[in-house]
This record gives sequence, structure tokens and C-alpha cells, in this order.
Amino acid sequence: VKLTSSEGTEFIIDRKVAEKSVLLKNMLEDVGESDMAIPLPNVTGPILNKVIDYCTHHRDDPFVSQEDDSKKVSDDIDDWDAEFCKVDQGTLFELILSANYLDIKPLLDLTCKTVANMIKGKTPDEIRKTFNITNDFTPEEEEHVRKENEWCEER
Amino acid sequence: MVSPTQTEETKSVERLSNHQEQFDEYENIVRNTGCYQENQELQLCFTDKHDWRLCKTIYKYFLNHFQQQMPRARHRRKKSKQQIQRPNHKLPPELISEIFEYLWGGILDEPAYEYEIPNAIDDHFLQERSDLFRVSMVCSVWRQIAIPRIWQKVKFQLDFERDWESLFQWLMEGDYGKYVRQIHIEYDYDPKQNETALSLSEKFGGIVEFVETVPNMHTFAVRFNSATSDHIAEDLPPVMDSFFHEISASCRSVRRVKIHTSGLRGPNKDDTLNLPSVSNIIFMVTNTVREVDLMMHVATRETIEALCNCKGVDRALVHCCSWGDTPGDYYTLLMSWKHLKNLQIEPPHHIDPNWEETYSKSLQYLSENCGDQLEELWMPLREEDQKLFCNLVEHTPNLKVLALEGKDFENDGQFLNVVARTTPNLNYIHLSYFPNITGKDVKIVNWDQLIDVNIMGCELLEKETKFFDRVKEECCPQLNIHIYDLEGNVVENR
Repeated sequence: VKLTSSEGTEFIIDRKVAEKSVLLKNMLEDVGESDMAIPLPNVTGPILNKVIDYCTHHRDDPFVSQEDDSKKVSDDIDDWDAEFCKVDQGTLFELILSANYLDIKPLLDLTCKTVANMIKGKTPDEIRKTFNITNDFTPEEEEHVRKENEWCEER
Repeated sequence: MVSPTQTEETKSVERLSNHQEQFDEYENIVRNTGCYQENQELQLCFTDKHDWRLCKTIYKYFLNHFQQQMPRARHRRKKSKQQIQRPNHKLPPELISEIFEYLWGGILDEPAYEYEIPNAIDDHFLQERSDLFRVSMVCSVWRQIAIPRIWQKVKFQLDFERDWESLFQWLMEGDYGKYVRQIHIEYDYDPKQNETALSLSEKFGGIVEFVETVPNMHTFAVRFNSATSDHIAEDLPPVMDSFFHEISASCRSVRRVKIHTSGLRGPNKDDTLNLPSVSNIIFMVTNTVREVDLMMHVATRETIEALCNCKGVDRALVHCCSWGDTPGDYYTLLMSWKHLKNLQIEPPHHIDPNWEETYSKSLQYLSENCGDQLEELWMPLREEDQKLFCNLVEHTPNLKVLALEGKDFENDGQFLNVVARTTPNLNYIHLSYFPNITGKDVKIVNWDQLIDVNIMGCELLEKETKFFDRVKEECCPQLNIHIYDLEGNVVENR
């Protein structure tokens, strides 16, 4: 199966690897295999490379249906996956977007878990620093949150 | 990777073919200066006249414009750089939600069974804040996503000393009811607190008023507990009864009802607790309820009739503390719940011949009518029921969870042989208090989906025969074996 990233770089991968993506799986089923490359304008080359790495490593994993994971825990990441997620934040977020777009549930779960683990145990301030988030509360909102907390702490 | 200076417009330009790529990059830079139009004109002039000198005026105009635009272009670049540093805004809200679900272990609108889900009141009042709570204070987008998740569960611990009046006032003013999916009410009675009917009824009043603002309640769970049986046995039940009566109007959409009252009975522990209004709640949830978890000593005739009409029940835990003279009601209930998938059997404290008869009839009924659909089964097991039980599991090929507790079970447990052969989809098995079970005679093991086994008080199985180690070796390498001591602590994982 041929894929083209947003810059036009071509990737050739096994059908089995491609089918980890529900989007591609459905496409291949509908259209059938052909020499035409499938354009993926939402995914850049480096990210697509990472995604292919992931799908290749997990090519033999059984397909997990959506309803099976009613409980969401984030401490069940294996070593390979943890190593896979040691990337800069920009890449991690691009991976989430791509996994969502390509519909690769286990990769989406893995990357979301990784971000959740980065959030856990941190104060709001630390979270803002970690993700470079601007505190955009209006003074009124800020006041409301502060008052509510103060009120609760007194009681 | 999309470079920070690109705009939506240039991204679409970028998607053109390979050959144009380099050209496009140049064009992007020009576009970002804000002088695209001027540059275009200059280019056209040159193409027409093939001599830069003839394009002087237009060049000057371009240069002028370019110098004016420079600071703005720089600013634009800076701004887009900031955007890339704010990854949360790059992710659409549904993906941020996806991440947040991992902070509390559930999925919104599909409340998990787990009780560890943080509850909004503790989250606000205790020092130890949940991750979800901290996330809500990061920025406005995150707050919007976190708030409904924080408020999805509210637990009122009624024996807590707090300013109840202002608590209810705060809840009403904050208009939080619209997010709430689960209401839990717990009350561990402590005689030192000197609770009176009046003070309890005030708390109940506040809850009723708050719950009226909850449009979409999923879970209504009550647990009353008392170790003593002083005046509460007479004074408090009437207050509770009117509480159930009043709150029932707000239970319209409830899918899960739990009412546990332990210890809250008269001097004789098996007295029926007089709470006829529980039937009001069951009447209200007849069409929506999927899970019932009830201690049956609160049930009157009306309550049992209402329960029989709850046709959608697929998960049931009916503690048969006391069925009085009509243990047959148990059988009637099972027969009414045609969609039963998960069943937890809790026999009465005192087993009499009437119950024995109902019980064997019930197990027989289950094996004949519900076998295929049963996915989860929790029950005590006595030696004399072994045959009935084996007959049942012969008919439950889709069982995923099985938990058995031995009751005076001294023989070597033939049932394990049957379970191993007949439940190929089993994921989890729990065995406690089967001291002489060995697994030696188990011939056919069809468990290749088994993930966890918990063993407690089964000495031979743990130390000598190591039956499950054999299973792990032979057919399910993914198996985790957990050994517990009698206090319920894990002592070994293999």
C-alpha cells in the first residue's frame, strides 16, 4: 500500500500494517488495492513515519473493540510504547491528531495516556508551564474560582 | 511538520504537487510579509518589460509598502509562534476530553462501577485535590471540559460534621445540578453524634431540593450503616421513608439503583426495616433501570412487584437478608429479569428448607433459560450445591467473570473440572475458602482468554498442586495469578 504524506513524500507499507488504521482499512475495502498512493494531507512525513513504526510493532495485536475498555487507566503502558512516546510535545500532539484522523484507537489511547500521565500530580501552575498554556481566565472568572476555593477551605 | 509561519491559506497552497513545493515556500514567505499583491505587480511588470529599470515606480511602491508592513509581519510571525506553544488549543475539545478521561478512570455518560471516581464535594473540600480538579484551574477551555466531569458524581456523607445549610446553598447557587449523573448518599451512624430525626430530615431536605435540579440522574445509591441499634431503629426510619418518597420524583432517568441498609434494623438483626417508599423509587425507574443492588429487608410487597416490572435489568445483586415467609419471591424476580447478564447471589443469613427449595429451583431456571446470556456470576458454594452449580456452568459458555466463595467446602472441588471445560471465554476467576481443592483431576482446560485469577484460603491450590501455574504454562501465558491472605492482602503475584 502506498501512502503520501502532506509534503508529498511517498511511503510503502504492508497492507496488514496499514489496516491498523480503521480509516485506511475501510478505504482499502471500499476501493480495493491499487497502485495509486493514498494521500494523507493531514499527516506530515515525520509523523507518518512514527505512526508506521507503531503499526508495524503492533501489527499482530488483536483488534480491541471499543466497548471493551470501560475503565480508563493510564498505568498500563509497556516498555516499547513508553519509549515510543519519548518525543517532544509538538510531536506527541501531532501523533494524537494523526491517530484520531487515521482512526488508530490503540495509538490514540497510548498518546492520550502519555499526556494524562504528564498532567497527573501537578499543580495548575506546573501544568501551565509544562504545556505552555496561557492562563486566560478573565479577572472575574479568576475571582470566582478563588472565592469558591476560599469558601470551601473555610468549611 | 507545519511551520509556525504558515496560515490556513498557505497550507492549502502547500498541498499542491511536488514540483511546486519550492516555489510555494517562496510564495509563503512573500504572503507573510503582507505585500503579496505589490510583489505580484512587480513580477508582472518585469515579465512584461524584461527590464527592472522600467519598473522603478512600481518597485518604489513595493519597497515602501514592504517597509510599512515589516513590523506587522514580524508581529504576525510572533503570534503564530505563540499558538504553536499552546498545544491544548491545537487539539479539538473532544481529544482533550479523551485525555481527561484518563485522569479519573471513566467515560462521561458511561459511569464506571468503580467507587474510586472522585466526587465533587470531597474534591472541593479536602486538601487533596483530584487531577481533574487541578486541570479545571489551568485555562478556560480546560475548565469547560473538566467541570462536567468533576460534577458527574456527588456524594453526601451525612455523618460528616459540616455546615450543611451553606453547602446546599452553594450547590444551588453554583447551578451544578445540570452536570450531575450520580448521587450517592452515605450515612455511617455514630451514636456520639446525637443525630435526631429533625437534623437528619434537614439534610434530606437539602438533598431533595438539589436533586430536583439534576435533569439526568444515572445512579442513585444509598448506604445506611449502623453498628448499634438504639433510638435510630425507631426514630430515623420514618424520616428515611419520607425522604425516599420525596426524592422518587427526581429519579425518572435512573439506570442504577442501590439501597443498602446494614445494621439499621430493630434489636433482632433480621427485622424488616420499614421503608415502604422504596417502592416509589422502583416505580419511577421501571422503564430505565438496568442495575439493581438491594438489601431486600427494605422490600415490601409493592417493592417486589415493582421490581418484577423492571424488565430492563441486566445486572442484579439482591441481598436476600430476609425473605420472611416468601423466599419464592427470589425465583419470581429472576424469572422477570429476562435480560440478566450479571448476577450476584447473596443467600439469607438463615437458610431454611423453603429457601433451599427456591434456591435449587432458581439455579435450575438460570441454567435452562439464561445460560447463554450470563457473563458474570458471583455466588457462595456449598458442597451440597456442587451438582446444581456444575449443571449451571455447563450452560454458560459466555461467562467472563466467575467468583466463588466456599461455604464449609471440604472436598477436593470437582466443580473446577467442569468450569475449566465449559467456560472458554472466562477472563477472571476468583476462588476463596476451598482449602482442599487441588485441580489435579482437571482434564480439559479451555481457558485461553483467562487474564486474572485470585486465590484466597485455598492452600493446596496455592502451594502444592499449583494448578493455575500449569494452566498458565499450557494455555494462557498472559495469566496473572494473585494469592491473597485471609485479610484480603495480596501476598504473592505469579
